[in-house]
Amino acid sequence: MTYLYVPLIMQIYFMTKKSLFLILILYNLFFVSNYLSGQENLTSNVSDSTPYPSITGMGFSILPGLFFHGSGHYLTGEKKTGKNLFWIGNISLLSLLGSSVIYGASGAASMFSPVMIPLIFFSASTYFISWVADFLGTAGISHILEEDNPYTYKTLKLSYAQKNDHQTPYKNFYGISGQWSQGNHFLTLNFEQEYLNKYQKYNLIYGYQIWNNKYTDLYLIPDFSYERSYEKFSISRGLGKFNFIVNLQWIGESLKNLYIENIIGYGKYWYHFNKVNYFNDFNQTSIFISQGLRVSIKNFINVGTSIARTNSDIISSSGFFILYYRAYTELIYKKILISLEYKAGKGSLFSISTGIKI
Amino acid sequence: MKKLIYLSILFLTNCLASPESPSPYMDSTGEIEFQQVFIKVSYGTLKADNNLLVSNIQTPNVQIYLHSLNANPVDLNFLFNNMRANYIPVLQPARGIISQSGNPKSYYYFIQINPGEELTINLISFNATSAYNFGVVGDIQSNNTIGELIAASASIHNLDFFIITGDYVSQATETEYQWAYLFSENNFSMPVYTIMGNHDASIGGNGYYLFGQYFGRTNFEFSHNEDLFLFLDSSQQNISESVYGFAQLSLSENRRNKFIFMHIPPFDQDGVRANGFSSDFQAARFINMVKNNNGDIIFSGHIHTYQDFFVSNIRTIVIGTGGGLPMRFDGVGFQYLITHVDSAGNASIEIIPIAAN
Repeated sequence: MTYLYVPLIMQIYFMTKKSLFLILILYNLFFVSNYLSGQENLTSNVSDSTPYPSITGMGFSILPGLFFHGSGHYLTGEKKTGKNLFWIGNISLLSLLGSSVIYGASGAASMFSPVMIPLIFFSASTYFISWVADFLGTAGISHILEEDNPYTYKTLKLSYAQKNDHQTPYKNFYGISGQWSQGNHFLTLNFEQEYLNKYQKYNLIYGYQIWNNKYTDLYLIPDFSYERSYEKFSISRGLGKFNFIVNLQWIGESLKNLYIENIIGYGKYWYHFNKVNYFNDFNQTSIFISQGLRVSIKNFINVGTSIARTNSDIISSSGFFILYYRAYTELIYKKILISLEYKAGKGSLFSISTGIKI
Repeated sequence: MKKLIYLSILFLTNCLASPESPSPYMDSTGEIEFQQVFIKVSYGTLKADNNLLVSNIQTPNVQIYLHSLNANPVDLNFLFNNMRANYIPVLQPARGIISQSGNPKSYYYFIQINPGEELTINLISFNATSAYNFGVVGDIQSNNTIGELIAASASIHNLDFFIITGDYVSQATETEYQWAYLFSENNFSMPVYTIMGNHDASIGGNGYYLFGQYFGRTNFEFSHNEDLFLFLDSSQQNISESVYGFAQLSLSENRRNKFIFMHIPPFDQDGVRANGFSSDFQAARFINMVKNNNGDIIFSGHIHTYQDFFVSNIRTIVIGTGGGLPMRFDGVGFQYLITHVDSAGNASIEIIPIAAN
């Protein structure tokens, strides 16, 4: 959590200092003047030959890059990429401040929630990612990345997860999952069982690619799950999710094959208590939001990271914007696949899975 | 090697967030050794102020344990604040009671304890009337103006006691806690029982320490006229395993009504905002346990509006309208509620709007 807010808080802090605020204004005006005079535009035409990795660039991406996103690229010659990152960062920051103020002033009004919560989430997350992308780009990450889309995989996996949420007796989980894909479609089935037979979860995800162009993909993903506890209650969930995937090569060549995934889903949760009334005990409309980065290194290691806002995970999410973090890495050697996953919220989950990729 | 570095950077960046712990189960802070006498007050705080032992009582049912290690008899002067009228002090082993005086909420005691003596004083302060009423509000958040109006209205309605469902203070500082303590003492004419909210816990200070110093336990229960009053710390948007166990044990007791008080409700009626527990699985598990133990009403705050809905057959009431920034566009202003329990044990809710609206 800290790493998300440090650059934001620091920038706000420096904006309160008169002299530094002036620098920030001048910096913005400089970019605006170039943009309006037509000398620059926001789309990238950078060639394949990037000057990265660059220690200097990485240094600049930290300072002054922490405050002026894109500095790493801009100060090492990739001006268009730098400016794109700068604008993405600043528009996100503006959006974050604006939406937070409006939602806060409304007292977190229900009527604003479906719009303001995703807006605040994506603004904050994109602000952070614009900084991370500057650092990774100057580190020359694009040289080792490959084009990849996990939705096209065909896999079968067995998993074990150990969880500590400080709240429930559910600790050890065993699971099996399979994914099948064909053309624009994919289908995923997951099953998870708690060791002491206290809990089971069934999950069916279907995905359809409804849009695809050079840098972007859009998937429609209906997601159904059924959780049952042997303490005699169960939860059924149905969500319609959209996953908008962007290859950050769209911003600059140095970010080629660095993917950002933006997921938003709305749906319904049904709760059934004490197995007395299976239907309509209690139900709620709900929302799922997630944003993360994903890369494939030489088609050998997949690494992904995301932050999600949802209350539907067995790991209690953290903080008053109910967030949890997920990071995973997946090694693929021939057809053998080994994955490690870590989640952290109010508790944490570590899982290991192995299987085959067809 | 480069691959490993890139991998580590990506992976470690995400592992920086350390898992948080849920709300701790706070034990009593009412323990003190005074002139070589060990004194413990369950469900309350205890401090030595010169020769006076001052205690703030978190429930109407209090037990005081004394054990003298002094070689000589020791005179002990107690002041108990936040007490109900019509209390019954019972000593074990039985002996004559002491002196008493004070205003309707504060009582003085004097006792002399002999060398090596062990004594238990049970103060059972609920009265025997069959019908009773109590007030509930949350989220005063140090709003003195609205707080005063609520306290004045509560006095007019002659309530038996009042319950603050958390976020009494806006920031968890010594100054604000001191204000909250004195506000309960001076403005409310009846006892006030307070539970921990997220603002009380951590915003701007060391909330758990201060709550313990000024109010005592964060999880406790008492009985009143055959009804159970259970107070739980859900200030971190969940309850810990130990608090869950405490709740389960308390709710398994045979009582006429079972009222539960917590700051953050298991479910927010607005599922998109989801300002209840941060895991709906934990929320469902909690509700299921309450249902299995025949719980009746969950009172909470945190959300600055009024919600009254059923999760299965558990009535869930949110009354976070005590002074914090109100939610807009819901037609709800500052208000508190009175629960009337008649002689047959039927509970009804009355909403009292505050004139500041």
